Parts: sequence; C-alpha cells; structure tokens
Amino acid sequence: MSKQDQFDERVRQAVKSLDDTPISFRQTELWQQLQSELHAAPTNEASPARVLIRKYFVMPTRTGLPVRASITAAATVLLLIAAGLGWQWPRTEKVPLAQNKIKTTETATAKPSPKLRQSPPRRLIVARKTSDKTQKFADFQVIDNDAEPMTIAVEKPASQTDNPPLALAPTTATVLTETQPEKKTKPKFKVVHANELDSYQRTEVAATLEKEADNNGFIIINWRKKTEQPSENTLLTWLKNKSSNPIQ
Amino acid sequence: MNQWQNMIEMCQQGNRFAQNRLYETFAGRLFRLCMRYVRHQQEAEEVLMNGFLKFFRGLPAFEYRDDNSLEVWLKRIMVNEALMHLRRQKALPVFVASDEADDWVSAETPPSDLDAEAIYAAILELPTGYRTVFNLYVVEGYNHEEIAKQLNINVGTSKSQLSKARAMLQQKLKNRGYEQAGSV
Repeated sequence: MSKQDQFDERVRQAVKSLDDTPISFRQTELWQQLQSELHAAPTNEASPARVLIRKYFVMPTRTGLPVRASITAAATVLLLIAAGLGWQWPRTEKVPLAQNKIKTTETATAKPSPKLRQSPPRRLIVARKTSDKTQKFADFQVIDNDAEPMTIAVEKPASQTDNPPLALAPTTATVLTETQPEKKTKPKFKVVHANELDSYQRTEVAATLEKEADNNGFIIINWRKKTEQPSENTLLTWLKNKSSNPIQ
Repeated sequence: MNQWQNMIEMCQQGNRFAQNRLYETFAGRLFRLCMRYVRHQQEAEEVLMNGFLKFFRGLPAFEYRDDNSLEVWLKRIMVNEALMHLRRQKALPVFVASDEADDWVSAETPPSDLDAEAIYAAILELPTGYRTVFNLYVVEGYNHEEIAKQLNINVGTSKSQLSKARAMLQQKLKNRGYEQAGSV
C-alpha cells in the first residue's frame, strides 16, 4: 500500500468514525418537515382540479411553451369548433326545404284520398283518364312500388311526419280540407316526373305501369315517348343480364 | 427476518414509526456527508431532506439484500442530491485538465493519531472542486471514471483535482499541528 493509499485510508476511517450527530443539526425539526412533505404529496396529487391544471397549463411550461401560448391554443381550438358549428347550422335548417317541395306539390293537387294517406311512402301514383273533358282525371290509382327503390311522391300527413313541416304547409292543408266537399269533381292527380325513372329497374317498373295504365284507361302525365321503344330494349337487356348473372 | 428488513417493509407500507426509526438511525451520519459536499448547514439540511424524500418515495422499489445495501443506497442518494445541489447553485467550478495528476507523493507515513474532527474540518475548508473530487474518491470510494462521469469532466482532470486536494489537505493538517501529515 502506497503512502497515498495509507493517507486516504486514514482519512476514510476518520470520517466514517464520526457517527455522532452534530450539535447544530436540527434533527427533530427536519423530521417534522419531512413528514409534512411525505404525507402531503398524495393528497395534492389526488385532486382532479390540480391534475387538470397541471396537464393543460403547468405541463406546457415545463416543455418550454409559456402558459399564455397554451391558453391561446385552447381558445383557438374553441373558436374553430364554434365556427364549424356555425357553418353547419344553416345546412341543418335546409332539410325541411325538401319537405316543402313535396308539400308544394300537394297544394297543387287536391286533398289526397285516405287510401293514399295510409299508403307507405314508396308509391307511384298515376291519374286515370276519364271521358269527361272538363274532368280530365277522376281518381288516383296507387300502385305499390315497394319492390323497387323509388323515392318519389312521398305522401305523409302532417301529424305523421317525423320532422315538423314548414309553417305554410299546415295552413294549406286545412284550406284544402275545407274545400274538399264542394269540389268533388275536381280532377285529382299526382305529378310524377319521369326523369326520376332513370335506372333500369325503374324503367322496368315504369314500362309495367305504362302497360297497366293503357289497359285500364289511365295515362301517365309527362311520360317521355322516347322511352317506349328503348324501354323494351333496355328492359330486355336488363333481363338478359339478370338471367345470365342472377346475383345482380 | 432481519430487524432492518422488517423495518424497511414497514416503511414500504407507510408506517411512520418505522420511517422515524430509520431516519433517526441515519440522519446524523448523512447530515455530515451532506456537509462535506455543500459545507453550509442550511444547504446540507435541504439536501438531506430532499434525499430522504427521494428515499422514502423510492422505497417500494427497493430490494433488501443486507443492512449494508440500505446504507450504501442512502449514501448514494445523498451524494447525488448534493451534487445536484452544487450544480443548481453553480458552485462546481469549471475543471481544467492538468498534468499535475498524482504528482503528490507523501514523503513520510501519515500519523496514526489523526483526529477525525480535525480531518473533517480540514476537508470542509477545501475549495468546492477539490473537496468534491476528494470526497468522491477517498471517502465514498468512487473511481476516477465514475467521478469523471458524475462531474462531466475527463479522468485526467479528476486525478489532478484529487492530487491538489490531497496536497491542500496535508497543508491544512500541518497548519493544525499535524506535522507528519503535512509533509509533502
């Protein structure tokens, strides 16, 4: 062992032999302070408000961002959310306008028959041709069209509608109800635009309806004549496709 | 089951009596350890308190092996805490590498009657850089690689600081009347 090591060893032993507590050391006071620190910490951490504040305001400062920056960021996010809601608000109000369109159609016609009221929404209504020239259309014929996905001429009474109609619609309906007994011979018809029938399936249904209408003395208003011949072709093509590929 | 092992388990369960017993056993020794690094009583108490807080909070993860392991762990916590305190206070000087490492050779055998309190007092009088390296190497038993890593210096600097610390301590002891220890 060198003299350096001997010196070091002597010093080490001397220092380790100092086991007594220095007089100046405030052992009891320090213990009390330590106890308060030790047992105060869990209650502080358990507070949810403290956790939230630490998460959103204190933690960003530790990562380098000032508190004002985090507040500004939070305010910006809130502003963006509010702006997004405001932009969406008129869109949600536009939804009844579609119903208004339907109601406008109803006002142009007479009061629908009870049969029509009870009918499900997916129906195609065709007016019947009459011999009376003044009275062009005597009645409706309602043909069930549930098998095909057509969504035209949705007819619902005001009380049964899921969404409340516009304010004008009920007043028009009441007027029509009052005038109904006086005008029994007034032609009743439902306008269904043939442009709606643009798919093959719809074309098939339309062709079927057209045949039935001819047989029964009905006419279809605003029916495109050009679809008569092509409809057969398209129908045949569609039937061929259907027979060759039954999944479709 | 060992008495200390039982005490540690009670401390791990948050038993205040056991915590107090453990504190009273080691507080005096550890306070002196802290004093050797930070020198001022108030700062030493602060370091001791922070060290004990870390100890009690980290105790659930402590695995008892023997009584010595507990004391070693406590001392290591206190030393780390003291070094952190010195860094925070910017008390650690900028160490400059020197070629004077291990240039001190004691010509004579150091006296056997070295008073512990005198040595302790002389260590406290050393400059912070010398004192830190001397404490880490001589008293705590760290090697130069560990010291260099702890203080973010190179090994040569650690050696030179230790050499200068030894020389200065010898001189201080000589001034206190220990002529043999002061022979450089």
